[in-house]
Amino acid sequence: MSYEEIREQVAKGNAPKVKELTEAALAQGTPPQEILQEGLIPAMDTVGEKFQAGEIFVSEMMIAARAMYASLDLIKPLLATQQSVTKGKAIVGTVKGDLHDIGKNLVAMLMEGGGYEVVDLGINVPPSKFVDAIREQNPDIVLLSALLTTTMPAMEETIRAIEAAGLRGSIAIGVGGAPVTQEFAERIGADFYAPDASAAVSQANRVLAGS
Amino acid sequence: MNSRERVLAAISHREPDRVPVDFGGSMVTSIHKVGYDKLKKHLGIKTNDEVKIARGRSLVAEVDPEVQDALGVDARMLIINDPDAWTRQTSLQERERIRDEWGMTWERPEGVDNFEIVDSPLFGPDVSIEDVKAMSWPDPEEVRALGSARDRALELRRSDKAVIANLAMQIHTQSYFLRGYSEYMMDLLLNPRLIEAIMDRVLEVFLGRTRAILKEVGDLVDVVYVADDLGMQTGPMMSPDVYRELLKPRQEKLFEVIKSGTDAKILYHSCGSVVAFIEDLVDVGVDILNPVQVSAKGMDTKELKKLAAGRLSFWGGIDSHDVLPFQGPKQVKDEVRRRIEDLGEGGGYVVAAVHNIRPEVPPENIVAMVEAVHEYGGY
Repeated sequence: MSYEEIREQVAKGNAPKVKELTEAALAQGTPPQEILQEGLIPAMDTVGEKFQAGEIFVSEMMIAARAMYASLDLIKPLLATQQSVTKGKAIVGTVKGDLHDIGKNLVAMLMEGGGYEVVDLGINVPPSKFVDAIREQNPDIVLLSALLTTTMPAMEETIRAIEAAGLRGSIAIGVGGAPVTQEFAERIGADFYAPDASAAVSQANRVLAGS
Repeated sequence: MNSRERVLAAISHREPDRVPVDFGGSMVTSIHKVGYDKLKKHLGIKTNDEVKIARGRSLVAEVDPEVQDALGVDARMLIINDPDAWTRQTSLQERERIRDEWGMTWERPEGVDNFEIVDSPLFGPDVSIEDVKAMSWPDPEEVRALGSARDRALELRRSDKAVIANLAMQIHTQSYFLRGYSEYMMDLLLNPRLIEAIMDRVLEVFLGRTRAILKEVGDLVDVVYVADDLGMQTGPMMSPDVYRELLKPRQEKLFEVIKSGTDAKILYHSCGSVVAFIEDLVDVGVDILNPVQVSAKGMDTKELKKLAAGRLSFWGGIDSHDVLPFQGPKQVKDEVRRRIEDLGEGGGYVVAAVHNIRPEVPPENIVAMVEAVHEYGGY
């Protein structure tokens, strides 16, 4: 088994092969953390870059992510027993009034493939639910998604609710979705804006490295 | 020159007296129910009826002729084969859950203004071509309210506006609704035969309905509206190769049937960045591109006009991500002027908002959009 082979098979989206390689690696006593760091994260990194560059499309990215999960599902229970093995914890959700989940799901996949522990709150998530989840999960990153101009104000509402609950200081908030812009992100007091799913991961990395 | 002549000239690539403008002519160039109420109040127009809904799934209003005439717009909407006929007019405060003719279950949570699909006969990882065959498909011969379609078309025809037959008929979108987005997107590459089987059944329904509808109204309409989203904010939703293999031949067939049933132009709606598909859309017989989502990557209106080279008209282009909802009437007028400059030369452009106008858009901005066309749209 080589990590290069795992990376290749993830990029190709060959889930059964990735599962087989992971099982073999674990049987040989390879630390699960290493499989994540040397295999899955760099593989999904490359996939995200290619998506961003327009070399691959949603289908290719979803198939690669599924292959990544074939391995991650095996190593996750093993990782959970170790301390601070992930880059950080992220909560993702589509804000109140908005049922669009395609972009949010891509972000969740790539964040997980980027080495984050992800808690997906789903769609139509009211500010209070974000606040409760932050209290319970103690995340490093909170990612808000909206597709409609009508629901963009719910992003601001959510940030205000997080502030009012006294939880703003401990987390970085990122926003994204078709009508969202850098300017809007700054205006509502978000920490970063991501124009696509791949950028959400690189921005999260950047913000956490800076803090 | 009346409205119909104006639209026909523009979409035949001739310069009319001024650039035409559409508001409420189609299910994708109209306005959300809540915004429509605000607009009517602003204009001081009272129509007695409760707002009629053209598209239930996202609460799109059917704009009254009084409002269209007060504003001075050039097209009227003929709804046939409403794809969301299953929606009921319940209060927004109630949760709604409905099964449609394809066997899909739609749900709208309380307080939310659009629906999501929560179940379909073709959801799940282990669906086979046999399951597609075994599913109960809608009757291609059955078109809702077809009986009255000719009378309604004749009535619209009595106005001097261009009449748009709203057929919708989305092969790719209907297929991914049925299969579920994630599974569908993966199947496009991993199990294309399954997707073809689904698309073929969907197409069969659409072809039957299109023939029946155009037999009734084909001679009375100026534009036929069809749709299928190929773009996202950042680029193509699928690889152009996959589009060319799976979807393009089927679109070609549908559009052939449309062209054999009417002389009307085909208006094709796709959200997002579709600049990669311009040649394909010309190939399959699209005449008019909508909504020209100018905020999406690569959707530069000057560039698009060049690429189209007189083969495609544009219908839309007034930014709805920033200008219409968040700027003022002056910026809206500047936006209209800019798009007319970019797209209007030699005809081939009809002004409209990019997609249906959302409820938060100030009525002043909608009025400014139409006014600007009257001010700056002259040839």
